[in-house]
Amino acid sequence: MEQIFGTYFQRLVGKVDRSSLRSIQIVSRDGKILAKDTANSGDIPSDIIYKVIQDLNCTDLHQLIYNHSGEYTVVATPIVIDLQVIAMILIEAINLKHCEQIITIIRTSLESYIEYHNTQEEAFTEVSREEAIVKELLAVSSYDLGKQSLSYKLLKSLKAFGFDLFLLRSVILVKLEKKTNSYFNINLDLGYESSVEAFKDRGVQIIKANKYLNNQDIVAFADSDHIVIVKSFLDVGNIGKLYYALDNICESMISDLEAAKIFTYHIAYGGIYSTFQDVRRSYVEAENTIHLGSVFQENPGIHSVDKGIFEHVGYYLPSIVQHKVIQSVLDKLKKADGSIDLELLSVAEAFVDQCMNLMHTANQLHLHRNTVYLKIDKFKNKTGLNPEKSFQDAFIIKMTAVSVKIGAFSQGKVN
Amino acid sequence: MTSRERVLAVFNGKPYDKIPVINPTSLATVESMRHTKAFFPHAHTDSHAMAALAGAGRDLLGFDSVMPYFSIHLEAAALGCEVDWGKLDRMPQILKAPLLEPDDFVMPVNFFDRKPIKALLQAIKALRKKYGSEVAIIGKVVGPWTLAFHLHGTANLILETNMEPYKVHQILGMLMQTSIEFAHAQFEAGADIITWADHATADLISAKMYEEFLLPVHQQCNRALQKAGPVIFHTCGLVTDRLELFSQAGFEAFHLESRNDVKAAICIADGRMLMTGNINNPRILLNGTAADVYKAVNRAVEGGIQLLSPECALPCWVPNRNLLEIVHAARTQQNK
Ligand SMILES: [Zn+2]
Repeated sequence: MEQIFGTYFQRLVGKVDRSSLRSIQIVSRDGKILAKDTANSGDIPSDIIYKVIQDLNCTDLHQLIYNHSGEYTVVATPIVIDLQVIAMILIEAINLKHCEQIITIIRTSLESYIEYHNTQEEAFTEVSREEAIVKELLAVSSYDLGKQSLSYKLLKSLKAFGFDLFLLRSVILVKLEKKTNSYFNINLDLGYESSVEAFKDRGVQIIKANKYLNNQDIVAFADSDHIVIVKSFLDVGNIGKLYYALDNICESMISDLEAAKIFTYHIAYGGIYSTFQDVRRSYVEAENTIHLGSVFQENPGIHSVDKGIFEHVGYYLPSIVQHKVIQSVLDKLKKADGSIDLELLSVAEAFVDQCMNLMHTANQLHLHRNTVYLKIDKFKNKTGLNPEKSFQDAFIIKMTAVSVKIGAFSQGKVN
Repeated sequence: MTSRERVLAVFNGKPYDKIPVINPTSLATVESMRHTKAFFPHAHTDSHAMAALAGAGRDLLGFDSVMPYFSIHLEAAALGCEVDWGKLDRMPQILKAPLLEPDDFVMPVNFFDRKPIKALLQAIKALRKKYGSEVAIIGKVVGPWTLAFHLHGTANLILETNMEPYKVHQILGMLMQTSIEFAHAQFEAGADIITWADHATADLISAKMYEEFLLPVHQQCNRALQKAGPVIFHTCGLVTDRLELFSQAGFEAFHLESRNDVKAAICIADGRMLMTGNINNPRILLNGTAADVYKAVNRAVEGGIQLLSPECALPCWVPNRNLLEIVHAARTQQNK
């Protein structure tokens, strides 16, 4: 503020036509004089200042306020930043018309200077810079994936911190389980809230220190239970390879966390993309992988696409296939009471999983071979799908089973 | 005290009259090129032009050192990279890396006869002949890490630190021989000091990766060069998180970019490395006034810098008056 109402203000009033006014002052909302044009020693009487502040109408922030009670007419206007009145400009006018123009120019200049100054400062706040950047990146295009451009402020921050805008990037997500865990802080017997705090501070520090991360990578706590890592890559001309590098990075992060006795986590990554606009997309994919991981994987740890290919394909199935094909299979599996015969579906899924081998399916399900045979036959009759004759039918069965699991899980019916 | 005595006194921990002004990296400006008629790109690989342009640092600017290796591409060119040598005001770049695999690499027997290598050695000899013991001559080698970027591809190498670490160890182990031998050859040709350009920058690798892959290599290199002469390590960027490791590597000095705090750097190095550099190129030397340069020099000296120098290779359009101002400001510093 000093530099704004000091040097900048003086430079500004130096350019003003002095013959139309007696003095210019800037006062705070409680009437304290913040700056005055040094060419004139006389202060505006404090009772006039208070009167003007009282007259300030908070619904019209770009108003001009007049006071005729003193020797000179005083014209005043508020300086407004983010809808907040931060100070007021007062001019003792000789030529009122001119002063109305002058005060408007001074207000506009000061406001834009302060706004510029603020973004500059925001962009350079060291403490939570990564947290702020991640927050902004994740807010990008939440409703219009990939099509929205980054805000000026965000771009400016990214550049100011030396982030290369043209690297490939993927989001790695580390998620803390939302429950008290016996592994966590076992000696201190702290509840979840405290363990989150501990996780937040230590987890971020531990991950920041991971050997695969460099200055182009961003690590921050995103909300109550996520650490977000925006990992950068140079383009080697083969994105597939980079996903395997991501597997190594996740494994190394897990061992770093374990070495620090932090055990409750799920970790997954999203797609690798070439722009910062896609960071959110990658984040959502990582989140989905963790969510799907709870279907196909019992233990916490790395959730990876290749451990749940069918679940991922099922999750991202085009809605037309979902509605037209999967739904119709489910309809055919409805029992008399209207519920779906999930047992029959699970036998059919096991049969597909075992490559249509009756013996293996029976072993997996701990059923008699003949029982399995009868159930498969029933399934074929009900749905018209024959996995032994058609790979497409086998695929449809698998997708139907997976869709049920994913859907049921998200509604909290299966755990 | 001659310039050379002044510089070497700092390295030897002896008393000296004025803080030396050196250039561990390129000091070539368009203005100096016009004066010496030695222009880029010719002056990157022609020994006469190299010596002439390097001499401008002394004759026109009054620096305490001269340094005839302006790019970081001589070894790469000699080892099979296709190099675009740039323009008057554009530094060279690698057009095509040979994507060398560890098993393919053999240090060519005629390495020192290959044109760019020979040219640098001849330029150093010519400078020694011209300046005798007046001026410190700084040579330069590209370290195995940067050389691996050039020969194997930066993106490939970084990915392999993750996927095939053994391969990275192999590549560095082989390429370090080139750097060591080239450094020896430059010392023999008359260099007093060598700049070791190896870009272990924070934007590419973590400090832990430096420790895992490069620290042992650098320690080995420095042991091999211990008797030959002092080595200044150059890495761009923020280095605070790895300066402790750099200090363990055995380099005599570190060339510090202006983004780093000199005081903090000197505190971390704790007497194991001298600090040079820290005068900002784009803001101060390229676009600043004489007063800005003066202030930057004072700040660096107050921070405890032991040898003044521009932070990195100069942008070619830096006005010579700002470089003269570094020397001027240095000469007006209190005796140490
Ligand atoms: Zn540099």
